[in-house]
Amino acid sequence: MRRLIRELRAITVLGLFNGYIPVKNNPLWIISFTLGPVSYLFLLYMIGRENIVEYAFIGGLVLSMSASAYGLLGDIIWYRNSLKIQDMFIVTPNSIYTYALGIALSSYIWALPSLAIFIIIGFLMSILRNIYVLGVIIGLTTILWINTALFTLYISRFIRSEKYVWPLVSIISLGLSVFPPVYYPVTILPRDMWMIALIPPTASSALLIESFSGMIDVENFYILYSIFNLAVQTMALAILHKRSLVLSE
Amino acid sequence: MIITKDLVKIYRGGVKALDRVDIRTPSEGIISFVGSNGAGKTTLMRILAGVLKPTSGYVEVAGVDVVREPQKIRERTSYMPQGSTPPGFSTPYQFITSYLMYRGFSYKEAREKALEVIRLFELENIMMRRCSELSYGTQQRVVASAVIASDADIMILDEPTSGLDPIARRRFWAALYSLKRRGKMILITSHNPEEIESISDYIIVMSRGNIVAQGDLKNLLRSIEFKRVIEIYSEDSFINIYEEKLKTDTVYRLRNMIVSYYKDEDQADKIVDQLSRDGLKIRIRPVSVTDLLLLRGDYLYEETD
Repeated sequence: MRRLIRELRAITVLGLFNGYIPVKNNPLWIISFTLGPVSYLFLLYMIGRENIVEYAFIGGLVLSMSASAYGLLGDIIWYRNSLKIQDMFIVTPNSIYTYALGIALSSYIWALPSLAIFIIIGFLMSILRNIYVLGVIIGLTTILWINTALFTLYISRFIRSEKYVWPLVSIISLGLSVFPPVYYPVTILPRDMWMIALIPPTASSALLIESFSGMIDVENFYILYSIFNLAVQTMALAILHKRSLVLSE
Repeated sequence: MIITKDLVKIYRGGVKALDRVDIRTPSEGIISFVGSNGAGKTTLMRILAGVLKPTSGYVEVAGVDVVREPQKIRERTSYMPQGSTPPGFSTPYQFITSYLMYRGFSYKEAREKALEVIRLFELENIMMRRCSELSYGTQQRVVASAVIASDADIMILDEPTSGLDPIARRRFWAALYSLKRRGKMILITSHNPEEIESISDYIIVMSRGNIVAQGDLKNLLRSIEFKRVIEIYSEDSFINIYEEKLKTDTVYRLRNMIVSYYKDEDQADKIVDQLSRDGLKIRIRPVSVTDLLLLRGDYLYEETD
């Protein structure tokens, strides 16, 4: 029990160190990070007005969370290759998982200001109508964070050079948050494509938020499919990640 | 105590970093690893710290089988990787305090310990500045301070003083001495012969993944058959013409430097007198442990300051 408390404390310390201190020392980071999703929302509002603003809102929430978790790749490689302090944090009384979870937590902390802005916008624009929907959003963005952070932690072990990191982060982050049905409802795609379109965890999360908040009406099958998809992917990544966190070879 | 038997590390791609390394060191004190670049020091440090898996062989540190129970050794160790620097967004104070809290210190303890090492390494004036604004040497001092403040039983420091000025280096040695007196085991790699000879209780000389020599300073120096070394520096591409005047068979040519070894100190003095008349830049010095790299190792000897 004491060990668990110590490890949880270490996760929080590392999460705050890499997530809160950069923002505290340079608040411009919040604006820089939040501006992307908010500018998409603004653009879609100006073009589409009320018709699509709800989807832009969901898209902004999902992009804020996933971009932050995929951006973790940059931090992992930066700590490992440039600063060379990853081993310094691994050679401690804490387990390797504590390091991985601490770094992952920092990405959640990074996304919090952006999520908070979206939630405020959601209430102001009456998209968020009650606490139940807010709970669904918090729960699903957290599951999305776990999924994307695990994916990022897993692929980080295959990246040796820093020159690939930032282009990859943009490709993955925008590729999985803008092209799949995240900023638009899956219902505008041909029905045959729905199952494939919902494979990215970002799309499954968006569908669940849209469905639980009453924005779209789809058959239960697609809701269950999205839940199953998120659960299976998250478990598979957790197993892969566990296997990859042995001594480096 | 560190014990390794037939330790081999071959990286993916076939690079052999360690080749049947056998080590047996005392259980405490300062243990130095010396060797040219590519000798395998960092690989060995990472294996001893429990973060890198050897290809084969046995590794024991402080009674722990590192390959079987790496977490056990990591719990008792703090490690400063070669060339490590703190993140530019943090201040030295934030970095040291966060690292100590991550290791399990309470906020109060971490704060006190951080301020203690900040004073010890004279970082007070810059403790609240962002690390990105600090020089490389100062950034290294910040990382070294954090590791030293950790108070771990075993401290592994991979070239901790390479970016430090001479005064900071001496302060660092003093800190290591005080840790040694408290019964800590300190493993350190270095290129600096002065550093190695003045602080080490046990020295391991490495070359191309092998152990060339190991022992305490006295025994290592005794094992060298020579007493004096003459170094000649010249930009002249025909530097080898001076080799004849050196009157010894043990001569090594390294770019624009010739290193020659003498058993007889008087003979060496006479040769220095003669060569000085030719206007050459000459240095005569006693043999040091780093000479073992040339005498028993290879030509990858690094010119040290």
